[in-house]
Amino acid sequence: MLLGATTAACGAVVWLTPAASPERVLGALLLGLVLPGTALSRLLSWEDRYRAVGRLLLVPALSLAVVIIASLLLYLAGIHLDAHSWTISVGGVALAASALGPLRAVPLPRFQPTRLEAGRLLSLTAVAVAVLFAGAVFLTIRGVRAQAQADHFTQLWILPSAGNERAATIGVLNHEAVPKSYRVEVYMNQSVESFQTIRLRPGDRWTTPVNFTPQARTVRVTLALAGSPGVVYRQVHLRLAPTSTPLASTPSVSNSVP
Amino acid sequence: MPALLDRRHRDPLPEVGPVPATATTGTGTVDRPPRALAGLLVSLGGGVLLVAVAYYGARLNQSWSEPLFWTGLLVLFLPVAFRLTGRQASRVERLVLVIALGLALYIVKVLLEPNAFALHDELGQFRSVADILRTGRLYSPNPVVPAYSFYPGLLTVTAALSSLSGLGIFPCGVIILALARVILVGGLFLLVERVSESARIAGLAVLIYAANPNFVFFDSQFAYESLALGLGVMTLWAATAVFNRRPGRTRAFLVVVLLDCSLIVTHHLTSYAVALAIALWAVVEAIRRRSVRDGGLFMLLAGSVVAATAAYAAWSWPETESDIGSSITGSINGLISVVAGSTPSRHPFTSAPGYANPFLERAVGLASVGLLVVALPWGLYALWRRRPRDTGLVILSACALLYPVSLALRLTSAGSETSNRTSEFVFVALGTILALAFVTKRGSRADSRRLSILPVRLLAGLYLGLVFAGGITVGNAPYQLLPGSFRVAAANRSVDTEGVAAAHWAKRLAPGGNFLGDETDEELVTAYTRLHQERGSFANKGIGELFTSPRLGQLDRLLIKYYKLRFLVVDKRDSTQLPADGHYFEGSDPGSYSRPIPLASLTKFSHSRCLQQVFSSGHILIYDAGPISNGCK
Repeated sequence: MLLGATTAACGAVVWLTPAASPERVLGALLLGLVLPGTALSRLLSWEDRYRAVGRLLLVPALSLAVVIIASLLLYLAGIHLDAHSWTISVGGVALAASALGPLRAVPLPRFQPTRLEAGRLLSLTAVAVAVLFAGAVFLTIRGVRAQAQADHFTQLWILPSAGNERAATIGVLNHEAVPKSYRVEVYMNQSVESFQTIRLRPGDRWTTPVNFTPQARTVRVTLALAGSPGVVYRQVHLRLAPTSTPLASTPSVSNSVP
Repeated sequence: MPALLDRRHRDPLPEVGPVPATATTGTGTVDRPPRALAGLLVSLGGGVLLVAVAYYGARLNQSWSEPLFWTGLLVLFLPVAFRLTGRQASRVERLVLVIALGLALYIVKVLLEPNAFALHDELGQFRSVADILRTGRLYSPNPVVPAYSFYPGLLTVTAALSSLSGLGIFPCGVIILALARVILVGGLFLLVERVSESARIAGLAVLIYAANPNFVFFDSQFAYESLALGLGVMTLWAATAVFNRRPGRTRAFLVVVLLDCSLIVTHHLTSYAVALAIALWAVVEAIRRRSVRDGGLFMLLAGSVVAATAAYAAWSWPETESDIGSSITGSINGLISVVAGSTPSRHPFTSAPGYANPFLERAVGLASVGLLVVALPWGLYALWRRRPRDTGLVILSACALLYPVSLALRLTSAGSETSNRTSEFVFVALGTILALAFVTKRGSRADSRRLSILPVRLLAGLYLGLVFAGGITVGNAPYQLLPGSFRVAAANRSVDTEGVAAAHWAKRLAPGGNFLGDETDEELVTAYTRLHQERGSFANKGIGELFTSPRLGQLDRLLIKYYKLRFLVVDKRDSTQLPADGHYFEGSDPGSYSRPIPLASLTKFSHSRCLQQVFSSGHILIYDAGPISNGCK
């Protein structure tokens, strides 16, 4: 009864709460990795001297098996695999097994309550392990950040517009770990058509649309750091096929996403 | 967990005298808190912290990081090994210890690459999960390894959890593999305990299994085998309930079928190994029992498992042949060539020409292999002295003999990979048989008490520590073990922020287009985009020739047209180092390398009027080769 109600509640949480919210993550973990196996292990477990531990391990193993087989059957039935179909199929198995469970369930042995002294020791152990683990996580985060900051670079790109070969988008992304000022120059047939100075903070992206003149055969975009305007830091280029229909009289460069 | 720790079962076949009265009473109530267990769990946490400090140092290129890494691993492993060799620990303590050790070693891998997948198999499987989430369908072709999408067990579980929770693929994969690790070590403990009827043997068997070359890193990666191993041992454990006439074995039968069905669609080799083991077990057990009813049930179980495995294997064989078929035939042919003298044998511990592991690592690796081989006859003798009643133990002893055979394959280049990939299967048997040698020294219970003497236990702990450390050096190149600065073609060390950012940028490119890049860029771009990596040869040379040739000639243009290459992803760092694993390109190298690719060869595309350079991040450049395909000359 409790198992069925929990399954229904988890299904509702998965459907109704926003993605990646704590309650949805908890509901999904229970629905996908715990409840189907719990219901099935009650139904299918056998008499065994050590069945408590065996059943504990069967719970995740059977849950994984249910998700895998359910996905395969959904696919074979031509049903789209998504949150709804997975919730219904996996939750359905858990509900059905929990409904049948009381007919065949083998009760688990009751454990004696933990003595106070042992309980306190285990609590202290858990705290100590958690502190050590937190230290490991903290150091890892610091190390990864330090390494990411050492990998500093700037991306420059030019992407022709879909369906219009006389237009493109130019973009710059700062991944230099510090704010940077850049000078972006657009050349058409070797002559400067436009330039712009931009300043980006770390992680900022700047894009701008650009239209090409009908006479343009090559388009080259260079990026220079503001402190060294004469040195090309990055460059990209396009080769254009000739066209008779002008799409824009003059190139336009504007800052779209500072 | 506290409740579990109160529960203590006596070892059903105690090798060493009575259980100390101070530990538990018959009612299962703890008289004394489990101080040893608490201390060992803290030492496991300490080991993880030391490894994290070592990784931190390695990320900052500190030289002390490597010795600290090994220290951390030994702090993780040795205290647990010391405890498990003794007789004081209860069954539950042994079980908790092996699960905690398994998880701690999994965390070691997670902390190595904590924010994204970085290995070849991981990135390939990432692509298939993304395809399932995008299309809502299975079996989309996987451009990295076609077999991945035909074994969608891990993919569907990850996609389901991601879809249900709204979390990304990476955190879902990490959670699922942690669960798979618990199932693997816990299931292996139960399996060995069932066949050996000893929790002490089971604990040691899992410990030795953890020393297999693939346990710490390869089988912790986001790949189908990591999940399949857990499902496989649980299937075998459930099968023992059928074979051993436990009450409720019909239900155990159903559990075997359910788990095996999921295993069959999760990983090819593991499903073959499990089917073979169950079939062998059923035949031997049926002959031993001489009961028509039992024999019929065993044959039904074996028949259904083998039939289902064979049917799925036959259906997926066209896609899996390239993954396993060619490597097995290559290994056998290679071994025949070495034996016949037509090919020189491969030097162990050399991942690429001119690159050899440090001397100490080679020595530890060789010592570990030698120690395992030497102990194997001892274990078999111990088994013989026990007069095993369980068929499973006999089958495991036969499988353990495959270990020396697998070592012979390491003498060939093609066989080295095959040998390495058999470790996780062979060590199930090897661990069990060697554990017998530890527990039943010379087959006598009285003799086994010697292992309780402190110096002998210390020696046993040292043996296990050496085998564990050696396993890691045998199964992994040194550059893979620690994070650090960028290296060319060096697995996780080649995946850096710039490469990942370039791959994410490439999502903007038209989906479905073919591209060529070096090994790492191909893996990253394939994982994060819908582009299709190309590999192969052209005019009897690997198509990596396109990047290594000094000029963009007519042959290169033909190659671009023939392979319909739309994009070329160039990493200028390929001109600075030789590839650590010997290959710049996956399956497309034009030959072997004695010096890095010249920078001029890599940047020659910038001067072609038929190629457009659409992206640059300094080291990484992306060219659009569309104009060449459209006839530009």
